[in-house]
Amino acid sequence: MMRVLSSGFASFQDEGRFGFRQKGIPYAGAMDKDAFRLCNVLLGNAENTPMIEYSKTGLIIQALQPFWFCVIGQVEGIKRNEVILSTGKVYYVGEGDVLDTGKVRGGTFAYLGIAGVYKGTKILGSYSDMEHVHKQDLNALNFQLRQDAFYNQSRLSPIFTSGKTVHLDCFPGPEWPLLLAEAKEKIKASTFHLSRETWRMGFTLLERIENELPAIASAPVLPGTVQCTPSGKMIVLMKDAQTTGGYPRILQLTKDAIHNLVRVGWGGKIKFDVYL
Amino acid sequence: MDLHIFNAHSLLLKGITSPYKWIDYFDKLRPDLIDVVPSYYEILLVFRKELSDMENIKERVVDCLKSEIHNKKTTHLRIPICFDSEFVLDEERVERYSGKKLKDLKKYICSEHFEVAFLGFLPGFPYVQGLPDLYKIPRLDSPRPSVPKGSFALAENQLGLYPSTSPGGWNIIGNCPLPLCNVHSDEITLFLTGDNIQFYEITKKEHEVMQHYPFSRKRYVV
Repeated sequence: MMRVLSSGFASFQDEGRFGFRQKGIPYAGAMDKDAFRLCNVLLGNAENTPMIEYSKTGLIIQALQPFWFCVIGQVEGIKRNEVILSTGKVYYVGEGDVLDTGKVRGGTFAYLGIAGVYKGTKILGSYSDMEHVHKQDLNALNFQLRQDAFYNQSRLSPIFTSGKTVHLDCFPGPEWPLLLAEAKEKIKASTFHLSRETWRMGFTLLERIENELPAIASAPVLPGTVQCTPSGKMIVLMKDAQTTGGYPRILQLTKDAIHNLVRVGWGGKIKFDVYL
Repeated sequence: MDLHIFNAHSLLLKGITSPYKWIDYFDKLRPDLIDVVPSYYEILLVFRKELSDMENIKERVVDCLKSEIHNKKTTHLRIPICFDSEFVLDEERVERYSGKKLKDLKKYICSEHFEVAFLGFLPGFPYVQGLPDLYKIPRLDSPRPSVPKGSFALAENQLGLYPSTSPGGWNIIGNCPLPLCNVHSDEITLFLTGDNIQFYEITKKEHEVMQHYPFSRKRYVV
């Protein structure tokens, strides 16, 4: 269907793999679920149709067959051959055309969806790439392409933040009560910034907090769990994070807060609104 | 026991002794319940939807813990380990921290029974408990970038087995030739939470042969 000329930081994702955490298998799945869903809606695809997720540098692909596609995300410089295209709109790519999916704002994730029905084989109920579980070869995607184009002609895009402080609703984590009073105050009152360490496994914040908590016996974690390392570094676990961890769990982001965090970008300002 | 609201659709049961013994008690809550994740002292219950009636769900969870459950039979597994020097990367650390020779540790491991407390870290990686405090050996100061597949490892007084090559900070004392995880099989993982394991020593030659065995759990059940 397509040949990947340059893959950048790309993976194949649907909404994730659920029900296997007891075996140590993470959820995986699209980092920005709203953007992922919107892409399928615009394309007229069935919900949860898998697509390519990418970050930082995008992909350059050559179409071996014509297909309809849509890109959603904070992306610049999407090009079909040399023509600049926009995000949030469905376009056509002809046989032999070269598509450059553009450059993604650091720390955010973009989606390249394809109009059609995916005919691949699910691994444990999902198509999502996950280290040690499954890795899809993007040169061998098995789409039954839809050329009749029952797609949405509007141009849409999720609301992306720009420069404003993003408020993240969160629950106090299991180890929150053990934090020093000053650390709790700092977490509630200060503004934090997202570092450039933004992986599918987790995002690290720039600021550190006073931490005197020792490591804990390995205990369950989920996407959105905020861990605090012995050096006071705060790590927000994401979709590919392992199922248990040994760092104290100080906060737990809500689902919406996770989606807001994946749109903040490197250096973005964050405030934690802790439900207490 | 204490119930902690983890997020809008998950509850954490804290302060439970031997969580692995309790995981089947929550089957009543399925299909609303999608994940039951045990660890050393906690069980995380993840539900499909947001829990709108928290009081009701807490009651149902507590109810599960009271329910009579037919005594589930423990599965016993016999697992081969090769202690050939090629696979032992941290003999010096083991001897320094425990004051015992590696061969004493080996003897202990191959004569006792151990329990799989839970799986985590990597798909199919078992956290195995049952070693005495004497063998509390800290993790490496900085993790190795690549620990070989099958590595039989020790950290604090836990044992573990690496299903695939990965970075890791545990002390490596041997190697298991068997496939530990296969996402295309029904069981998926060789070990399950609550398994009782007996380790036995194999030679380098046997290790070479067993490396080619296909994934199977049944084959190692006693």
